Amino acid sequence: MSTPVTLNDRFTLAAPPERVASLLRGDVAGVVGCIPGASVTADHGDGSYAATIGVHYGDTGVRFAGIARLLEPATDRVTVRAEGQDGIGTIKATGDIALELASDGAGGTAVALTATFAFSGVLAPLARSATKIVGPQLIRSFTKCLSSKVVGNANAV
Amino acid sequence: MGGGLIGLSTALHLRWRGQSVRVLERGRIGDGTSSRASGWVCAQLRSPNELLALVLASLAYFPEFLRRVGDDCGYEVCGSLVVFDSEEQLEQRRMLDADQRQVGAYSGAEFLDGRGARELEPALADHITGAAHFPGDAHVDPRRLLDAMARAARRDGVLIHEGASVETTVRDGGWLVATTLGTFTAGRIVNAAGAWAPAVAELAGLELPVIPVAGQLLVTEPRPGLVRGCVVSQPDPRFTGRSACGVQPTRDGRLWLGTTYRGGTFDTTITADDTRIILAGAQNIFPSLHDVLVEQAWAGVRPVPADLLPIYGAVAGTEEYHVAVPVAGLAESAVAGHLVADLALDGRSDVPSAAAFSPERFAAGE
Repeated sequence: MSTPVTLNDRFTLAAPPERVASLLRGDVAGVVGCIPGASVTADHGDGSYAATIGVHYGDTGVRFAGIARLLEPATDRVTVRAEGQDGIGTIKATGDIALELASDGAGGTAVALTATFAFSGVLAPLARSATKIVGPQLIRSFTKCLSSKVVGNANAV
Repeated sequence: MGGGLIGLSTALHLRWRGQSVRVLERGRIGDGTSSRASGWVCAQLRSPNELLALVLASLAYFPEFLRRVGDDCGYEVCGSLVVFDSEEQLEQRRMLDADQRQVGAYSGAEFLDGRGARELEPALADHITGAAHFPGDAHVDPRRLLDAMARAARRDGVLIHEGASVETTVRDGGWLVATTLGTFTAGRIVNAAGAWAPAVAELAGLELPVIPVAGQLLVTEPRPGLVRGCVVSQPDPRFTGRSACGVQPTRDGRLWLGTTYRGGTFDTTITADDTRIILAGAQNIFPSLHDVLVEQAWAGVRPVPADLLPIYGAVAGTEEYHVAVPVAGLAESAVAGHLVADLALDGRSDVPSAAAFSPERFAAGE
């Protein structure tokens, strides 16, 4: 397993931490779907999900299929752990996406996102580099989508 | 060491700056990867931005370089079109474009709706809802470029030794390079062996993190007028296809289709799987290719540095051993030699992002 790649981001969501936490835990498929190219394909009913994610770099890309599970969360922290491999076995990947939630003092939630990915296999160095390059873009899309979900959810309540 | 596009460009630029130069090629000129290039000098798919800046510099320099070589090699600014059929793909392209705009020389994508895209390429499939247009991208005949560069090199006094497989490289004041044709001495050596650069580096006890990635191309029967410029599909974020597909017209009406990616292998077998993937990708963009005849197929092996950035410059702690391994070989080929010659002779270069490509980054133990 090569040295993990860690990506960080901070952003604010327009709903209090409890509501954000309950949205994240109650809609894992929706949250995973906020990552460009990712989707939940089956709910195993035990807190784990079959999921796929496609990551593109330039004009090529890799599709991973595997298991995503919500780790037993503290109230102020939600972590999704995913493990998978590409279709031809050249890369195995594991990733933790952790969201630390805190009140922003104005009725919203300050989120600190830490995503850590580790790769093994013959193409692990390339996967690692591509993640560093495209990761920030994926996170930007993810936070944008999550923000609109939280706003939609807040309006619905 | 290496008689491909990068090795020849390096030899030419060193020669043009008054150096005495030999090219050692283990097979024939262009036998490795260079003659299997697609010919597309495209900037728009390149990231990170250091690589984009380098390819844009190469695009800008290509016409002057070809004048010095003495053959236009079919070089043509044909523009390119990245097509998509979903909002998600449009969003991805817009994000990439926003990042790429940090590069001064990048002029930006021109975003078109489906109608605008079909005005440029009338045969596009109905499901194509938009495109990003890059008017500055170009096409060049890769085989002709190789031949012209080799001819220019010989004309200008470069010695080219074909069939000279390097067996050992020994530091001896300068360098002693033993080959199957005999032993040569040199003040400095440049490892431009592409996907085979790690094996050549190992002869000097050096480690280069470069991974071979094989890929296949198809050439069809002539379909004159069907495709006007280079067209590539924006990768599908939901992965209904494994990779994006490019379609390029050539002057004789034939279409070049490709490519595929098989990581970690030097295997250049033509496979039914890759052929199917390429044809399906091309037909998804241009449905009228459903019955196209494939006249030729070939595969080559690209060198891919592990951090996805080209490697140009002297190896740390080993003065006068230079490395020149590209990511986008043909697209970089014009400026690559310029850069290597600058670094070898001046120790610096004004080629954009030059410092980012130094092999010293691997010694830093990132």
